[in-house]
Amino acid sequence: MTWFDLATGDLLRRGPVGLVLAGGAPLSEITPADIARLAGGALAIRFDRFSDGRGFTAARHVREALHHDGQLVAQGHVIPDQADYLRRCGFTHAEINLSAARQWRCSLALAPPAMQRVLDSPRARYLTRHRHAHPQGPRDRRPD
Amino acid sequence: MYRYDAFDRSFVEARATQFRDQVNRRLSGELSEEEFKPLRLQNGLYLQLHAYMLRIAIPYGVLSSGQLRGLAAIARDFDRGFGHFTTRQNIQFNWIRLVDAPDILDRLARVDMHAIQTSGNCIRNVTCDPLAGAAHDEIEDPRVWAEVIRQWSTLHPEFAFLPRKFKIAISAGAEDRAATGFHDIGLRLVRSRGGETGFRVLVGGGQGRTPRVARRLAHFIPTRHILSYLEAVMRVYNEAGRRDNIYKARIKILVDDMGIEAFAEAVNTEWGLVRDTATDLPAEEHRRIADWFAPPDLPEAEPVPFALAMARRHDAEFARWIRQNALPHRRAGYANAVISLKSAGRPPGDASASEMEAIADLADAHGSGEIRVTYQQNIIIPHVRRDALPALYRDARDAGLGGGENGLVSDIIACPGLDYCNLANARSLPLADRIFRRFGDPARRAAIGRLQVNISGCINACGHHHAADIGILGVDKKGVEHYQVTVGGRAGEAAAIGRIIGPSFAEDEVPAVIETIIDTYLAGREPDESFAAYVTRSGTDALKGAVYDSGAGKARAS
Repeated sequence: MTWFDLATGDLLRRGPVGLVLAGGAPLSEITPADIARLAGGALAIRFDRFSDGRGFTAARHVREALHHDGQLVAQGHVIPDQADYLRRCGFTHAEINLSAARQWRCSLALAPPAMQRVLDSPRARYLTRHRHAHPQGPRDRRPD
Repeated sequence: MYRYDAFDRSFVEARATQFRDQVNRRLSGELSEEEFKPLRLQNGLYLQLHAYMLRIAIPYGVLSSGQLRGLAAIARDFDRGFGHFTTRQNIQFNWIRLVDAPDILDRLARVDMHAIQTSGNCIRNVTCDPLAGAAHDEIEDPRVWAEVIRQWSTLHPEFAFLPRKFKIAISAGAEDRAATGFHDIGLRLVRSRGGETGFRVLVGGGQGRTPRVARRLAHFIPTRHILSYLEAVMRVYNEAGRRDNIYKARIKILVDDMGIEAFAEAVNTEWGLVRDTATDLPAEEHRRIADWFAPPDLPEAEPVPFALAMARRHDAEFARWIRQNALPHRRAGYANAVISLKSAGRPPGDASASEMEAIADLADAHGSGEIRVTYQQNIIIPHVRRDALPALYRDARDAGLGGGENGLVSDIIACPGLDYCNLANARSLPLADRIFRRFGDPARRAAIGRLQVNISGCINACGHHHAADIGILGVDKKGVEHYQVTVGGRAGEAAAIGRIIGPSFAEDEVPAVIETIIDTYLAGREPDESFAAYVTRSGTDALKGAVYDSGAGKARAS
């Protein structure tokens, strides 16, 4: 298994993970203190089944409510067609089989542009349309 | 109406390309059926009894004449020459080949349409009052907000894999013509005392095996905050909604389990986190969308044109048609004309390719080139001058679309039933036809007045039988198709769930049972009393007595 960078499509050797949120665990199980202890280290969210979308809400929760700003890794059953959704909900990496990397890059490239403002969606339609009127916040630094 | 710009166009083209890749990977075996299923469903592709069914989104029921011609061409080139309009204002094609689906999506993209999120466990097509922007009783045009919500919910990255499907309806009229009480979220546009517009938010309505009328979640959410508020509701549902049992996965069950107060509190906590972030729409983006819905330029027109009065006097059929099918318009001298998709031998909501083209021509010749699809599976041509109604009626009648059935006992809502659907217990379409023919006399239909009969082929209730004056539900009695009858349901204001009158009936008995119920109502009603008011006032004993004393319902014992 390897880490697929959801922003660049690069591969990264699997690194240490400070905390794993189990698939479907209540969000109350993870606290601001847990995030503080991570000290910017990687956090992983597990998907038991790709069709169980709780991990997407969990990702936005740890990013937006708990302000985790380190790596956020999607582990378990995720599929290439979810690459752009994962990225836009705040995941930095997906843990994948090396052999699937080509399809992950392809799916990322095929994802339609974003219609709505979510976390950081530099391609969201009204940001491209009114970029100057709505400056991007501090979380909008990552490349598209 | 809303028109695509370069961004919207590139979006639907990209989506079609993406789906072509997914279909190819499925056909090559790279994607398992389990993994492909949600991807095809979110592009509107179902696997039914005989073939794939493709459900195409008609956002809040609004079509241009050009788009309807595009749908007609798809019906002709890829289906068997017809399409089926649904209670959620969409259109379905029932005879689609998987390999053709990407080409159809390309065709749709060319007329600014798509099939995104018409199916699957995601936020479905937002439905709306079919008279939006043309209604005599609305606060403001709800299509602006329907379009805002459509864009926000389209491929929303967080909400593509919800516990279950999720349906939102918006209504801005004094009368609720969008059945907001039977949606996961119902939004009623209201005005505060200070003159600000906002939404009364209802949650947890729905039909199926656990019918629920939606409960009030919020009295007033200012329109500018509606996206962040919806996002908060969706988050609570996505995190806490049940995923262990498909029959308990809708938001109505979560609201039942938590209680409306606790649910509202959880939503407010989430809303506190997102309400002042950039989730809400910038004012200028709202204005950009709202500009597309500027009212059409309608010149002054005679409220009671002489030609119309003469036509009514000399043509009894036209007089009946106009009474039922010409709905009030916000401007005097104009009307909204219903084109009924109910007639003998026609499955409710079906239209052939040439009929779709005829409707497009009617909208161009007599309206403003715009077409609406209704919850009752009919078509409305808005913005018709009243003095053009006789010509519109003649053209519609010549195309075989001159039925004056709107709102009558013959205006039956029905799901596709066992003729198409692999979930159904019983057929809906032949029964709808038998009931239609039973009440074949137009004068008798007019004497009965407004009365909604809905038929569902199974407990999933796609035919909305729970929400009808008289509802008919297909059930399986030891391998034989049987039908349960309910009375007293209502879809609009004061939404209510119909009550079962007793044991079920064999198919042959049903038309007579419906007739007995209606005759009993006619004999017992006060002057001008609606069926719903009659059932509320006098209960169901008289109806039950009349039906079962006649010997109906005994066949089940055999």
